Amino acid sequence: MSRRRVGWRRTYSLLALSLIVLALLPGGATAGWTVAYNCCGYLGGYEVVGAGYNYWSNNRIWRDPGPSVSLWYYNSSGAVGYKSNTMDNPFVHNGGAFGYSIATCSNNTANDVNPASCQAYS
Amino acid sequence: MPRVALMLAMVSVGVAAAFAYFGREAEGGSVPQATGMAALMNPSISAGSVAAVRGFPVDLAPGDGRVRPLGYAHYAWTRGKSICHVDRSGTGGCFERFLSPVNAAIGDDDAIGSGVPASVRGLATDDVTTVTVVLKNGTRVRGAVVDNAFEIYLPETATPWDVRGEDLTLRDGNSVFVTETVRAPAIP
Repeated sequence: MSRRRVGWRRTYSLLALSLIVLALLPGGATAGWTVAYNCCGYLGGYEVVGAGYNYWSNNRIWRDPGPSVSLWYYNSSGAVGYKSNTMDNPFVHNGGAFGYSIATCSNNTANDVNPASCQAYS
Repeated sequence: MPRVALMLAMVSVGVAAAFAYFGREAEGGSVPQATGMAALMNPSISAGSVAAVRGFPVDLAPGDGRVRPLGYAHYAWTRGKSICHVDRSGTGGCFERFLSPVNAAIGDDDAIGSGVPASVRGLATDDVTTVTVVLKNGTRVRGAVVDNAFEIYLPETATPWDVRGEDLTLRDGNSVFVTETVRAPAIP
């Protein structure tokens, strides 16, 4: 077996070990993930998109200032924490109080908002 | 060869200077910068002492860990060319310039029609003294601007999408109407 092959094997072993250590860290160190949830990087006219159910800590949308957009959550009470804005980029809404919900963003205008990126964080 | 290099360097410096000059011109103009709020000079406090700021995304948090208190439990801080801000409900964001004299978030802190009434909260330039929220049915609800912030609660039965806009009274006595577009949420 060549020296080079042994070197690669050692590298892969270290990488695997690092991943295992990362997975075994306490929840606080690994919890929290991000999802960019509007497909295709834009919002069509009046489009409403959701990130799926989770315990979301915040929700945001990036887009050029101007068009009115909304952020909100959908849980067993219906639409909660509904907020609309035209100027902030990103526009952010913390959702820690809404529990298990769908983080949602929507375009309040008839025109496409392009580019636009909706992101939710757990 | 050294002469060619010198000429290239001079051309590069010229192009860079032109970009800097015209870039500055483009950033100027009549649109107020987000930094044009006197309350951004208020004494700063620790970001860690404000729950709404602690809940804000880490990548948008104040770099120096300090925030400026504005009116109505609204907080702001500088981040690059932007001003970032958050209100008592955890709503905010970052912006570089005002597109109108107010940057408003229209919404409801909890479920629509229950709990805390719907509200219009936001930041205002130094030019604005009062904000009057105008509903589609003609109802008007007035609030003062305090330290570049405003917070106006709507009548119990009103929803965010009942808002037609804000009628602003300016320091020079003139008024400006800002039209808002808010839609009822559809199930995602």
